[in-house]
Amino acid sequence: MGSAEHWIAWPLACLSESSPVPESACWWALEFSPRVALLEDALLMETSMVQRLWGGTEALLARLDSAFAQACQAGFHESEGGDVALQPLRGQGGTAWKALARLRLQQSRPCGSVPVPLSVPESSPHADALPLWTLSALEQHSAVLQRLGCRCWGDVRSLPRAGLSRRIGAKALRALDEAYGLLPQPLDWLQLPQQFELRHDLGYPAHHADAVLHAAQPLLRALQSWLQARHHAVLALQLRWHHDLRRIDGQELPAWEALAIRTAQPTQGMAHLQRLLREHLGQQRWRAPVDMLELQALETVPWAAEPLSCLPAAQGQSPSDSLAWHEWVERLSARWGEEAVLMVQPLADHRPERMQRWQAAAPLLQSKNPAAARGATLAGAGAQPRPQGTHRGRQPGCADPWQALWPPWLLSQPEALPVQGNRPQWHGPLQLKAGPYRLESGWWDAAGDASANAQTGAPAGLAARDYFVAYNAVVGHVWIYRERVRSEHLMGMTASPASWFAQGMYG
Amino acid sequence: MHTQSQTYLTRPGSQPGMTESVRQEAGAGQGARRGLQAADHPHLSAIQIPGVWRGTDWQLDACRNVWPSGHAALDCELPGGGWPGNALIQLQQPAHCHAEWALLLPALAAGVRQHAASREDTRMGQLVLVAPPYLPFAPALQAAGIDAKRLCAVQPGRSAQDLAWACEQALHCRDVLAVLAWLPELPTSTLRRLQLAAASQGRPLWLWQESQAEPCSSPAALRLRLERVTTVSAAQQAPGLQIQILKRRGPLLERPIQLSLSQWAWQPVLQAQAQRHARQSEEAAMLMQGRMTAAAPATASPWMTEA
Repeated sequence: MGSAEHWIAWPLACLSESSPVPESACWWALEFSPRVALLEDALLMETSMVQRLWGGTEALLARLDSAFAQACQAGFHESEGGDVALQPLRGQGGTAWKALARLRLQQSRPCGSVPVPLSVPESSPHADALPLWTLSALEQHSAVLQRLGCRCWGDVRSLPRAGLSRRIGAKALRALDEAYGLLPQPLDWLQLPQQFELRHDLGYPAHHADAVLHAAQPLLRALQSWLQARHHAVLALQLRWHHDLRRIDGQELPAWEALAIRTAQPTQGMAHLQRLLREHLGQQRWRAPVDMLELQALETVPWAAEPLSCLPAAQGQSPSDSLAWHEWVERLSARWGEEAVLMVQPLADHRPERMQRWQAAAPLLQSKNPAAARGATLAGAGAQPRPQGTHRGRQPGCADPWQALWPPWLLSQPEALPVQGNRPQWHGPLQLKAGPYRLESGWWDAAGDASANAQTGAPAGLAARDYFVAYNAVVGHVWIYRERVRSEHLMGMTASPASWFAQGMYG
Repeated sequence: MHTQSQTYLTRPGSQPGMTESVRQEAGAGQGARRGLQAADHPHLSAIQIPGVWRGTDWQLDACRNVWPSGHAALDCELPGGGWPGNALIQLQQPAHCHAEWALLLPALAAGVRQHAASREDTRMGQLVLVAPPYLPFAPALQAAGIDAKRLCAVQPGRSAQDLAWACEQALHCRDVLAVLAWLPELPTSTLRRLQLAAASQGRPLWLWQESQAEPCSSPAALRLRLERVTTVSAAQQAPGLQIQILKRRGPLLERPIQLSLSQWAWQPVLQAQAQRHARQSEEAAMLMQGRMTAAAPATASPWMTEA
């Protein structure tokens, strides 16, 4: 099993110079295989275990090449990676040292400054033909070995081992054995942190939202590769920024300020989060320049990828070019505040103004998400909640006259109507068409604050009303009610407050 | 003789989608159109270009994305027999008139029902209301067949351009069933953007605006003007709506459409109330005339109301 190992090496310099956050530069590789290590100046990956998962060697190499090119280009948005796309810069081999040696050989070839061995026509020479300098353990003793007539690894191996060990030390020979796969090679594997928390020192002051957003790009990319490697998806993240200035215009400035962003559906893609971040950052006041950023994943869940359909997507229905519902809600909420997008929740009450509650949609979606998922699984397993819903929805032509009189529009506050000649007026006199329908409800709310509101005569909760459908030519059919005169008004002969109110509209 | 009658019979049969009233109207009003029957030019009807339609076919293509409006009088004047499901529909109504739900509720309820039947996921298929004049009363809409979970309102208080952007984004959202918007005057470029978004995404957008005095052009596929019928004629008991089609993808319609809106759930309640009032006044009149006997009223009053 160990002999079938397949190692791939990439130069670390390409990666680290493109990424301003060095510790995250190699995380992209962990998406493909857990056996990733840093060895000297290269990134090494062992793929024998995962080749079948990714569909064979060729398919895996193609994906790795594109991922590596993406990771290299990520730093520069211009067309910088031409040379990478031209020829994938990587070395392969049966052991880590071999892959590294072949990578070094390949790296040395285009520039030509290092003396190239005479006969290596094929791209991956046999291990015996690899030159001495490609193995750093041998390169230290290259002067000695060259005087002994050694040019490549094979020459060194053919020498008597005991004498060579006395000359150059056992350490170099052990490295050679590791390179040939005779000894196991201890490596400390690259591991992801348990919690994503990454700090990025900008090195320049960022004065406004666009600059901060631009500076946050590498952090978001690091988060994406962290999520992909852990097979998680993010629900909430926090961006913190640091001010170098301690006070400005005589005001104390907090050292760190933070912005938390939530989404309703866990995601690995950064496009939606980035858009939310832009909207939120655009609303911040940037009083002082920012010199450090820190990104933190507050909440992540295991990633369940979208199930793909076997059927071709209908026109205009493909998920890539259109928004999901939560994305639309969150985008509008981010731009205009959460109170701008409302969704309704029905409440159990008899007073029309308390039968529903319109509340901000984004927190509702985010809080309801686990419950909704649970409800979906429930509905799939045993259809317990469904019949109830259909039963309630199945009564369009209801027999109850009270329910039949509900209007489709409800005024947010009942509007007091002027009265002329004993008739309520709303853009003209109203003609009562149907009613009265008596409603008396809400005493449980009135009991608490009746004493407080005694002088105003209108307790907040108690509703004692007669509802009518009224009509006039301007407003059409409207839903109005009359506050029933309460006993203390009758007894005290006080002037009762406005008694006619409009509450709904039929159109 | 025999062949003549056969050809006469086959020609009307070539237009299966036409209803009786439309055929009469087409025969009477647009005599000039007769020369361009599809049966005369079969090669022309074979040409199908998306976005290009023939003026004579405006009632035929029922296969398109159409939301039947639920009002029979309106359906037979709308191209395709209902609201276009992939277009901007501009509706003008006078101030203080809010006939939105009365007009759209049957279509929306049918659309929601159809969507719920075709898809199991209850979270899809949202109805987005952009800047509604009041908040909808969810229990009433739920009783009419629109689930409260499907409703979403964008609060007014932004500029018209911002709200139009919200409309466009909602049209691009794949979980949205339909968009209703209440926006003030919009520039033609914005209207065109909205029409393009609605057409490309296959979702209807009903845009409600206040009536304008002078007609101006608009890229909307369908434009209607609503007016309230104030005079209650003897034949028409309930006051209703008068709809004038300003623009449609079809011939010009000069007569306005009368909608009685009698399918409201509370219409029977109103009628019962009116009958009760009439009976009471009759009884009062009889009482005043002193012609009432002790045994008569129980049997007399239903007869009186029916007469």
